[in-house]
Parts: sequence; structure tokens; C-alpha cells
Amino acid sequence: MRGLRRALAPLFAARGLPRVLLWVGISLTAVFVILAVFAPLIAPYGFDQYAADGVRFPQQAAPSIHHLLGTTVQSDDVLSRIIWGARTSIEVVLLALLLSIVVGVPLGLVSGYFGGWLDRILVLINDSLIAFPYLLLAIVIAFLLQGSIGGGVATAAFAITVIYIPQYFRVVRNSVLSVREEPYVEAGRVLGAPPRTVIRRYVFANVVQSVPVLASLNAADAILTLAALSFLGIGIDPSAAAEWGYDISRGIDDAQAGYWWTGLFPGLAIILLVTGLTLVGESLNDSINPLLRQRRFTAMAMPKAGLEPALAPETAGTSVIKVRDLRVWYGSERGPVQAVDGVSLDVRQGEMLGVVGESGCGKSTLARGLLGLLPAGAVRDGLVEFDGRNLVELPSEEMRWLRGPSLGMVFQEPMTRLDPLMRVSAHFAEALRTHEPELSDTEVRRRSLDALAGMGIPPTRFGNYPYEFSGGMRQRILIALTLVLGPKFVVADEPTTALDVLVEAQILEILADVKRNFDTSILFITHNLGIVAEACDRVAVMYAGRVVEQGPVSAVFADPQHPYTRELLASTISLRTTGLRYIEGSPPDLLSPPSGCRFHPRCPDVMAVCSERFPPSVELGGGHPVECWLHV
Amino acid sequence: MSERPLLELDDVRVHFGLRGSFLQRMAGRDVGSVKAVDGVTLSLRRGEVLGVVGESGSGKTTLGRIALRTVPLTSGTVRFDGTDLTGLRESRLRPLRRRMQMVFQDPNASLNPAMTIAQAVGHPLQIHKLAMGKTEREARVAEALERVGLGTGVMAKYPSDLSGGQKQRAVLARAVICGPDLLVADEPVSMLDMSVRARILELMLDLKRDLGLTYLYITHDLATAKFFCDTIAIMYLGRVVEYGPAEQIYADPRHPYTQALLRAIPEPDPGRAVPRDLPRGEVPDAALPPLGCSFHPRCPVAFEQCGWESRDLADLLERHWVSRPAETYETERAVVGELDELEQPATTATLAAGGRATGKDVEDLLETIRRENPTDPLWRGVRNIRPDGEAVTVEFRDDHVDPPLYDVGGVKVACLKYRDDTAE
Repeated sequence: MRGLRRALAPLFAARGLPRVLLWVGISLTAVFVILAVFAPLIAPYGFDQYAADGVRFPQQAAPSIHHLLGTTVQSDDVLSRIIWGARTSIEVVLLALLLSIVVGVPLGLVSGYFGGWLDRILVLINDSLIAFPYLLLAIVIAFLLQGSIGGGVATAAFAITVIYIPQYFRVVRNSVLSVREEPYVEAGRVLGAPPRTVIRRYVFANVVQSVPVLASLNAADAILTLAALSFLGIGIDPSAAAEWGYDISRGIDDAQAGYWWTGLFPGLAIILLVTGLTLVGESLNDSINPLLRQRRFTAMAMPKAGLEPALAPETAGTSVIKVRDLRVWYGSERGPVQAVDGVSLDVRQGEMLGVVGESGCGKSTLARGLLGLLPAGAVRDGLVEFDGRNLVELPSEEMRWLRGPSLGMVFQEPMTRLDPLMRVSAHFAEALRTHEPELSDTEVRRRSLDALAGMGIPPTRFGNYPYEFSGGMRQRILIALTLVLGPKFVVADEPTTALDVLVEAQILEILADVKRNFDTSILFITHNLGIVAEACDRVAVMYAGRVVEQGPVSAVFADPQHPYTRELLASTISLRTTGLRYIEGSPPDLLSPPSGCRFHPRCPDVMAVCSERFPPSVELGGGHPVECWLHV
Repeated sequence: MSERPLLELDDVRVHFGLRGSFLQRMAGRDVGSVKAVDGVTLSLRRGEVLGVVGESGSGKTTLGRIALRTVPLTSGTVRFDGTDLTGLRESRLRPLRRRMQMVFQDPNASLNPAMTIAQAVGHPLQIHKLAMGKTEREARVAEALERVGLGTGVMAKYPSDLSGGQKQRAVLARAVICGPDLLVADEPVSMLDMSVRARILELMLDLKRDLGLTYLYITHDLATAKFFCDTIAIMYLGRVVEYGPAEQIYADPRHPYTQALLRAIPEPDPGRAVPRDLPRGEVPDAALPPLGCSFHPRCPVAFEQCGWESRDLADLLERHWVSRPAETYETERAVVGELDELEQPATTATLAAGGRATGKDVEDLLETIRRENPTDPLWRGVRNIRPDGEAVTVEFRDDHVDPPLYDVGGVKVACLKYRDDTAE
């Protein structure tokens, strides 16, 4: 239950339009619930009362002081029928929802968790029920029940229940199927918990949040279904209770004769209550579904001046890409995340620069920031000079043209980066034809095959689909796709992290060849210091959005100048490790980084000034800048 | 007095049946199975740390689940402290579970998001009824959290409020709170940052010392395994290919696969260069493993009896074409017909000629390939190449041997190189 409250918390933290809509929805629903609960006290007359004190009410009378919303052809007070109709609707819907949940949810749980023949049978029954036209089904059930228990609230409720059970079953079963494979469910079993405990505390507790959303949306739908049934004359027996749909059906004839109030007000009631319920349901969905939660960050919110300017390394040779004081901030619910906060670096022609850091240091954001592949809520500032232009200021159209033939990118998870419905040959054709449309078919094929051969992918597999390749081969295909267009600069964001060590070594070998043969510049992002040492020429160490040290690999690794670099190297476990070392504490929260030097809370060499002021960048000679008070 | 091993796996096999097409299943045809674990025999003494090392597809994760009996065995036996677990029903197994626990790979997914840390860590006590009431349970949870270095401040928090390292420590607290004998750790640090790994490993060593734990440490990272383990078992395609005391394996690795794994580990030492004589190709399909020794298609030192077959011929052609420009590939490809037949493993391979080429043309192509690289181990397994009208028949040796584990000076190695070194 506490989990449900936590899940609902963001609902009430919403601002702006979503908040307004939520409260409109709640208010509308509340009005009708109040009407329903207090109907005997609020309604001026009974639901089928056509007279008072022996005097019959006027027939089809327009709204007046005695009958605020007019009367019907049978002399019933429209206002009273609206109020009693609210009670009927709420009663029927509550009962139907309750029954649907009580039957549908446990069945869905059990079916999803145990699978097997039970699951197959239940799914068959469920799918048949769903496939059947639902209104027809409700009508059939209503008919059958009317014969035995009459046409009251219960009958209508049962009819509606039968058509909603399958929805709960399906939604819960699907949630269970996805949760069932989670390690924490297996953990529950390994702990020795019996199945009923695992289902209740490990599975159900994590799928329960889908039920309120479904319930509120179903409630809205159920009101309409009930109205439809009554409209058709198969819903509530008019002598048993008032119902809006029934009133509308009677109101149609009236409307043709000019008596507009008998049909309009029940119709309005339906619209308002359904709208209210739907607004509540959609708001619930928006808050519970984490994918829908996003907060835009505006450029104005990023302060003009950043931290201390970061020094670029003094290096000889032409730089293919120059980054100066790049900042990338993006919005979150709790404020701006200063993911990259003033990074300067250079990558020279034919050089591989390793960007190394741990989780949360901003290296992935840096990669995407360079290529302009940031999500909607992110803002960039600074200089990224490539080919004489500042990529930060380039319009997205022009960036698109650069990406591919000039700027390449290799991502982390090769499993999901290739279109499963396109053959490898089609991938290459698409890439080449988009950027070099004048190529002939033979040339496209030859270049593709050569690019693949360079990656060790045999030409016999050119026509295969992505699923026919292993993870390592897919990553090599992706690298080939990136290189076939001959970009000058490639960003590789943890390309080997998800792969086995032998496959990783193969790919590093390939990248070294590429660098050598084609003079491509590569920015290689990783958390693995061993790879950087072996494959990269220069290294930039990132911590909390800044590059704390960068320089030639040999210099930085042999004699690290920043305490973080030193500690990181010391804590790397290799075949030659004899003692375990680690860094105390954990990486800082980029929403509110520590004052002064961001590493100071964890630094073994911390001094007084470190917590007060951010250290300036100091060039130690040979293209080796460091940001640390020890060197000032 | 010899002490009874804590865990014994005796020729365990886990084969997952493949779902063939509807028609195949109706016809009762056997569509094969993935041999995730294919005959592994291991034993663990009390207090020992056994490292099971392998890449994806090696079966190491399944082996961990075999030890914990969370996966059904196809054959073989599992004994825990003398009790045969193999045929036990789940209800009989559950009380035993408090003595064998697991630490998972992904700290973000192994704690129940709907439970607080206190509830999660205390749940085993509830399940096995080891605490009298809430107060005692909370006291023991606090004690377990202190032991793993987490303060009692996290008790009311949910997993999403903790960092990766903290979550993994909570998982360890949950695993040890019942006082288990055996801990199966499946890649417990591979998803953690470098600076945090050492801390968790140190914690695991402390727990081993203080609580007398025995570990089955599953990993792909030989570097952490070297630091942490007493014994190492290297797995490849469902089998153990090398098994022995850690110092010996690292000092003198014997199986070519072990040697390759060790060479491939990146070292933070800029003096080392990248090319490392990597084994060619990739881990093969576990549903149809190579004939003979399953490592032979990739082995740099394979020889005559290692199990040469038709699929190796297909690999040879592919390797050849990868090294040629696209034009050469196109001309040569026309000479050879369909290659699909080579996918059926057999010691006799028929290579049909394509288009207007004859068997002789195909033979010439094979001879060209051979001349370019005569030291390719495949040729040692070829007995005869015979043109046959429109095709060429390549006969491989059929005396191949699937190596069992040979005992070589205290280390067991599944490699034919050592067949004559010792009695099997």
C-alpha cells in the first residue's frame, strides 16, 4: 500500500495544465459521487414520482421553479431523475468494477506466473471473450440474467462485469509476464519463499499500479456501456431505478417535438461524469507511467557564466575537433542536472582519445552533446569546432547532413541498434544512398563488402538479417556501417561494454587498424582503464561533469597528477593486483554538486581551499592539463 | 579424516529443448536442444572459493542455478552437504534454501522495488521463521546491515534511493542474514564502477572469514577471479575445459582457450600493445556444437584428431573471402554452389560447383586457398580431396576425439594435447 502511495505522489506534484485537468476530473467525479450518495436528501422527488400531494406533475413541462430541469412525458421530474440516475450509475459501476477486479486480477496473476496449460486455457477463454463484440455480449448476459434475477442493478452490473474481466486479466497477466523474469522475483524464490508469497509480495506488489489506471478508465467506459444498454431497453428495468440512457431514449421523440430538456440533461450528465473519470484515469496514467514524465529545460535557465574555464591541452598537430568549455545541462523533476559543466579537449587527426570515468561523470552526455543527439529537455553551450564551424550553433538540419559522412557514432548496445526487419545489405544501401546518391549498385555493394571484410564479416553473410549474428558481429557491422561513409571523426560510446572479453579484444584490434589505415580520429568512451591504456593515444579523465586530467596515455598512467586519476588506477583490478583499494564515498549528485572542487569530499589529499573554490586548470607541459589545487 | 564436500555436482546436464515448427512437433521429430551445461563434475569443500569463469554461452550462469536447484536437471546429481537434492520436490527443498543463497549480477534489479531495505533484508527471517516477532527481526536486520557497512539509516529507504554499491551490499545482507553455508555469486561486481568493486570484493572476503562461507563465484573476469578464488574452473560451451588451483592455472594455463582469455585481459599498462593472437571466430551455436573438441574451430594449435568437419570448411571459405577484395569474392563465389549443405556436421563434405564450373574448378580453388595459408590447422584434418564431376568431396579424418578432462600435474585439462601426458 505504501508503494501505491509512492506511485501516486507524482500525480499530485504535477504543475500547469496536467494539474488543472486532474482537479477538473476529480471535481466532476466528486460532484456526481456526492449526488449519488446523498440522493435521498438532495433529490426533490422520487425517481419515478409523477405526482405529489395527489396532484400530478405537468407533462413535458419546460424548466420552472418547481421542476428546475423540466419534466418528462411521464411527468417525472428531470432533475430528480438525473440525481437518482447518478446513484444508479455509480452503484452499477462500482459493483461491476469490484467484481471484475476480484475475478480478473487473481486469474491474471496466477495465469501469468505459472504459465503452462492453465495459462493456455485461460488465455483462450479470455481472448474469445474479447473477440466477441462486447455490447452484444453484455446484451446476451443481461437477457439471461433478467430471466432469473430480474432487471435491477445487479443484472446490469454482472453484464458489465463479464465484459471487463478479460481486460483486467490481460493487463495483469502482461504485467506479470514482464515482472516474472526480473532478478528480484527469482531472488524471492531463491530465498525460499513459497509461491503464494512470491506472487503476493514480489509480483503483485509490482503490478498493482496498473490496476487503478485501468479501473478509472473502465469506470468511464462502464457508464457509457450501461447507458447504451438502457438506451436499447435491455439495461436497468425502468421500474427498478432511474437511468440516464433510458431517459435519452425517451427524450429522442421529445426532441422532435421541441421538448429539448428531457434528453439534453441526461446526455450532459453522462458527458460530464465520463469526462471527469477519464481525466482522472489519464492523469493517473501519466503519473504512473515513468516514460511519460519529462521536464523541459529552458536555455534561459542555464546561467551565462559557467565554472572556471577549462584549459585545452597544448598539443601540436592539427585538431580535427576542438571542444572549448562545453556545457550540457538538462532538466529533471528536481531541477537542472549539470551533466557536462565546462569541458575542453582536442582530438587530432588519426588519434584515439579515451574519455574515461565512472557512472554519472557525464561521459555519455559528452558524446551525445558533441554530436547534437541530446534529448528534448537538454541545453548546450560552448564551442565544438569541426570543419571551421561551431556545431553547437549549427541548425539541426545541417547537423543531420554532417552525421554520417563526417561524424560517425558507435553506440553501446549492438543488439538493439540494427533494424531487425532489414537485411545487412539494406542497412548499407540506405546509409550509402542517403549520403552518396550518385553511386551505382555495384559500387554500393563493393564498398559495403569491403567495409564488412575490414571488420572480419564474411561477404557470404551480406544478405543475412541482424538476428542471425552474434552481439560481437553486430557491433562490427555497426562499426562498418559507420566507417563506410568515411567520417573524419567517430565517437564510440562504450562500444564493447556489453561484450565478452575476447570479442572486446577483437574489436579493439579492429579499431586500432582503422585508426592506422584511414587516419580516423576516434573519441573512445569507456569506464575500463585497461582498454584506454592499450588502445588510446591520449586520455581525458572525467569526474562530475569536468575533465580533471588529460594528457598522453603514457604520461597520465605512469604518473597520474590528479588524486582521482591516481585512486582510479589504484582501484582497477588487473591480473597483477595484490591488494584491494577503493575510493570512499560515491560520485556526487549532479543536481547539487559539492562546493569548490567536486572531488574534495572523497579526496585523500584534500586541503582547506578545496572545499571553498573551484581549482583552476593548470597546464603541466606536453599537453597535460590538470584541475587540482595541488598543482596551483 | 576426510571432510565431506559441501557441494557436489556429478555429471550434471541441463538441456533446453528447442521449439521446432508446429509440423515438426506434430511429427514427433526431435528438433534438438541447447546443451547449456553438458556434463560437469565439480566439488566444493567448506570454506573454498571456486571461480567458474567463462564467456556468454559457456553455461556458467546455468551452473550456478544448478547448484541452487532453480533450474530442472536433465541428468546428473547435485548433493549439498551429503543430501541428494536432485529429485527433491520444491516443498522439501525450500527449508534447505536458507543454507544456500545467491548474489545477483544486476544490483538495480535484484531488490524488490516494492519493499523497503528493512523488509527485503528481513524477509528471509520471516520465510524461515527465524525471528520471534518484529522487534527481533528488525534487530537482526540492523545487525546484518552494519555487518555489510550500511548504516541503519537505509532501513526505511527503497532500492531506488540507493547507489549501485549500496544496493549490492543490501543484497549481501539479505543473503547472509540466515547464516547460509554456500553463497553463489553470479557476477556480483561486473555492473559496478571500478572504484566500488574492490569494496564489495573486500566485503565478500570479510564475510567469508567471519561467517565461514563457501563461495561459488561466477564471472567472465579472470582478473577479479584471480584475486578472489582458490580454485578455478574454465567453462566453454557447457563443459569445463580446465580445472585446478588458481595459482597453477594463472601461472601455467594449459588449455588454449584459457591462454587466450588471459592474454585478452586489458591491462592498465600503456607498454602493452593491442594485437594478442586472438582465437578466430566466435562461440559456436550450443544447439549443434562442433564435432570432437568444441574449441577446435578457433584453436590456434589444433591438430589431426581435434574434430574437423564440414562446417570448418565453410569457415575456411569465409575466412578466405574476408581477406580478398569484393571483386575476387564475386568471381570465386560463382565457382562454388550452395554452401548450406556444409552446415550439417559431417566428416565428409560435398562442395557442389556453381553455374558452369566443374568439380575440378572447385578443387583448384581449394588448392589456391591452401597455398595461401598452408599452416591453417584445418589442413591437418583433411584426408582427401576428390573432384567428382560437378562437385568436390572433401574427406576429413573420422578418428576425432572429444577430449575428457585429463589430469595434468594437479590440473584437469580437456585438451587432446595432454592425452598422452597422463592416464585418463
